[in-house]
Amino acid sequence: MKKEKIIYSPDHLKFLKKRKKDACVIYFFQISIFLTFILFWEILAKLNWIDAFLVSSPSRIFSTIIELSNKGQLWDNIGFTVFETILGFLFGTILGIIIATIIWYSPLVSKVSEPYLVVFNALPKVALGPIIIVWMGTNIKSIITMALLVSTIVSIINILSGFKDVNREEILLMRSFGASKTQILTKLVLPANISTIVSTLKINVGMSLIGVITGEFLVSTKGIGYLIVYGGQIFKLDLVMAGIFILGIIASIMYIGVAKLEHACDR
Amino acid sequence: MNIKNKIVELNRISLKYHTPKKEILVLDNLNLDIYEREFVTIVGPSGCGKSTTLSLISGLITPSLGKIFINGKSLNSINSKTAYMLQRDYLFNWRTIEENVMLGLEIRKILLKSNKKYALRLLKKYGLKKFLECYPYQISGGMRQKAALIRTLAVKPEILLLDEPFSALDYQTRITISEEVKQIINEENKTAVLVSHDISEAIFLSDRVVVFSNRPSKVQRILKIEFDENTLTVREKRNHKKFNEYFEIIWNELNKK
Ligand SMILES: Nc1ncnc2c1ncn2[C@@H]1O[C@H](COP(=O)(O)OP(=O)(O)OP(=O)(O)O)[C@@H](O)[C@H]1O
Ligand SMILES: [Mg+2]
Repeated sequence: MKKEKIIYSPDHLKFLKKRKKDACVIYFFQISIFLTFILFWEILAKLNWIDAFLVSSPSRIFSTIIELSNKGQLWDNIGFTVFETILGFLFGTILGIIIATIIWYSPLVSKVSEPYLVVFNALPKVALGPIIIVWMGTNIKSIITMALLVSTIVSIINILSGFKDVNREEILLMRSFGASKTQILTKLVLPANISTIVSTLKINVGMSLIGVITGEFLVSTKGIGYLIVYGGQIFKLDLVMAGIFILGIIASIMYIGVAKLEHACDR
Repeated sequence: MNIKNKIVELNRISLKYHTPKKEILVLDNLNLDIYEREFVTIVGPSGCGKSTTLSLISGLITPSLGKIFINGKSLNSINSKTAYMLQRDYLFNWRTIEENVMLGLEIRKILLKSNKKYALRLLKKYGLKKFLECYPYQISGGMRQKAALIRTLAVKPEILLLDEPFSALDYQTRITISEEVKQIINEENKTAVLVSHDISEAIFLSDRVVVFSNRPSKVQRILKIEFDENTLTVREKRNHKKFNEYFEIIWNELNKK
């Protein structure tokens, strides 16, 4: 779309300025809450009011991260977890689209599969851990499988409900032109659901991360999930906290990435 | 008007809908003939089966009993001679106006140069040229409905099925657009079957008004609409003394018990 230079009235400029100011205020509070929290945590730990061995402290977390980095363990582990998560959410979403499409195609399949989807969705996927390990072995395959299990089912349910929400009159219009089911899918149902798919992608960042960390807890010798479990086993809570902190950052960056994509799709 | 060919014949049509709780007999022994290049409007109580009748003519649903003939041939699949125009325009937001108009051609896999040219000619002729590259949300409701009409015309249907196509428009737009649509349909030599809740609209657009009875419906009355001159505008028709007569007749038919 073309960008035109628009001249605003003073009123409108005032409005825009106020909006900007409001946004600044919100950012200010968001950041200061975070900083205050860190600061208090550090001070309380320094003053020994809280036991830094049990709850760690920002500076200890920071030095743990530096230490990991010096030992060359930081980026390896981050890379491993990020890689698995991306595989998980991309393939989870793609699988979700494919399976949702198959179910959408056939009303029979749709009705038959409904109770299975509901039960499978409610089932805590971690309960399947032992089976996955036995079948896949203690390796990355198990972790990816776990991530896929968690994200695929959510994608199927989400995307399928988007597919079924397509206006009946729009389908009538397509059919009156003689459209086949495939044409209805490619020319109406899929394009109408681009935003559903992107929002599913957004949900799946979280889902896939849950699956990956669960998987790493169970089988891994690498990755942030592994660092956290390992830290817990040797009572090094600094390592656990550092892991959680890193996870928070990974999750935010991925989420922002997908949100950007969503924005681009919205035009 | 000269004697014309029968283009649609609904012969003793009955239609039932089945739901888990009950069956609904919507149409009961309905007979209706529609002639080439005629503009017919169906009016009737809500839920009496007007939309259903259009679906039957389009071949989207098949009657429980009776037969439908199109140009004398029995209809038993989707009727490619018809095209729909609905209450809302259902232009797709992810397509430009031009792409939207080509939808039917695309679906029927007849996106030939000549067909495309015909559609573009219609767009130009009826004032949508400057919106070709626009998306539907960028243009007005009236323009959108006109684009929807051209999407319908692009597949060169012989019969246009119009299911309350103007009822979502505001009053003024509705009058100008309905008149324009009527004119376009005339110029392109089409047959039109309109469903409407608006008696005035039915009178000033149609050659014949068909009144459906309450469910289970049949044709209760067919009224030929004839003003003395053929080319009156909507406003001229409105002020014509015959307009009120027709209005009264239809009004009474609709309120008969
Ligand atoms: N697919 C369907 N299954 C069951 N019942 C249906 C179905 N479609 C329509 N009906 C019922 O059949 C009757 C006729 O429907 P139809 O849509 O043809 O009426 P209509 O005359 O167009 O009504 P309106 O004026 O409200 O548009 C209604 O009572 C409706 O509830
Ligand atoms: Mg209707």
